Amino acid sequence: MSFPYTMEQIPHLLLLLVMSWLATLGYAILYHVPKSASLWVGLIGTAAWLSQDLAMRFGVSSVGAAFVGGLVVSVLSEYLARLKRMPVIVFVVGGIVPLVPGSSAFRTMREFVTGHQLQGLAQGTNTFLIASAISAGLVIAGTIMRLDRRRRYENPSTDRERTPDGN
Amino acid sequence: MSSGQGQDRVLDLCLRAGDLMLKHGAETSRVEETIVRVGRASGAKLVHSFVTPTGIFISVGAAGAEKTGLIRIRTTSAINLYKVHEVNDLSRRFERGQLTIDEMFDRLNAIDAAPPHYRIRYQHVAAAISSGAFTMLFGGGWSEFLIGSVCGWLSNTTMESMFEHVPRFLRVFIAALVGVLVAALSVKSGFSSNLEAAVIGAVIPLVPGLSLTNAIRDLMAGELLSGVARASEATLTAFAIAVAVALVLSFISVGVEVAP
Repeated sequence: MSFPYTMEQIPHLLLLLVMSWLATLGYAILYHVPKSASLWVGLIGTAAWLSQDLAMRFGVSSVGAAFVGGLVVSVLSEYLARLKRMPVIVFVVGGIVPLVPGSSAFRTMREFVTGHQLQGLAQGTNTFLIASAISAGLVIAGTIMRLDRRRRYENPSTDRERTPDGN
Repeated sequence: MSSGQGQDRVLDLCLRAGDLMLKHGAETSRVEETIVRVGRASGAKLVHSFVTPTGIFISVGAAGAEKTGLIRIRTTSAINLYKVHEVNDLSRRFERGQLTIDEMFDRLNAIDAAPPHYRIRYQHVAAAISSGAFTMLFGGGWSEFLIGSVCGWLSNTTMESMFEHVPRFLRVFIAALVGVLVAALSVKSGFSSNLEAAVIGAVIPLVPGLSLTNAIRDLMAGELLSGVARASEATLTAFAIAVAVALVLSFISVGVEVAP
């Protein structure tokens, strides 16, 4: 495993990192993410984009890379949500935005419009797989990190049968 | 918690907190949890909540003498995660016993009446910058950055300026149409060469990120009904965008071979 970027690519990479931060931050502002969290949301987006890009450069397929990105977003969001005592949704919403399979979706539409139905279906399947991979990444990491919290919330039972006064 | 009056107040408090959170974009599993926490903290022996994206059903009280309430949620268009965070914070402090029920009502009213966390023109600027940045992530250069910003700003303002009672599908469709049309025209006039990046920049502010995330998180928490409802909302929005893009491409790119 060698360093995946050449020296000439570094400045462009830095520019793209800044851009992914800006893109995520702007999206967070659209959804009124609290001010004290919005810079962090931008960083989650940057981390997600970088990990996806790295995975692709190490030869992982686009679907696998999307999965890795979703995983990174979920782990970082759950951690920051605990740290800053905010709902996890605040962090996840912005974080997944750089992973959105925009170009794949665009190519799907373009193939359909230009009359290449078969290529369109292939691209559409690819888009769908990438989207599913992102959500799979979110679900797996999120479920593992939420296990203890769900237990805490569910233990004091609300069931009718078990209330002390009976029914 | 023995008097009927107090029971009514607790029910009202739970409904108000849940309504505020759900309207501003929280996932339903979190709303349910918050309602149960608030209800228990105010002394109710029994709290049941059932939350869907379009309504909240709660019963609160002692076994055998519980009160049931229901609120219908009509729009979730005013997404404001700051308010979700505030209510969540409030419920946590209430649970620790730092607030009384009356104070909770006052705070909730204040949160409801508070102005947007970011002013509307900052939001438009944010949409523009975000769209521009996305064009670069998808392989554009600085001219695409410019076009993407303008198109993102246009589609966001179009979305915001339409009336609330216009169906969401139609609003997204028109906003995407405006943004993508300008993007395609700018490419056709030779200002830039990367149609893909410009179009992605134009539709980014309309992408249903919140419904999608909420759908995933709800399904994960076992809220099958809400999860599927949110997922279909997201699909509908994405479909509106896709139709707008296809429509513009089929009109503008007639006879023009789109860059491979």
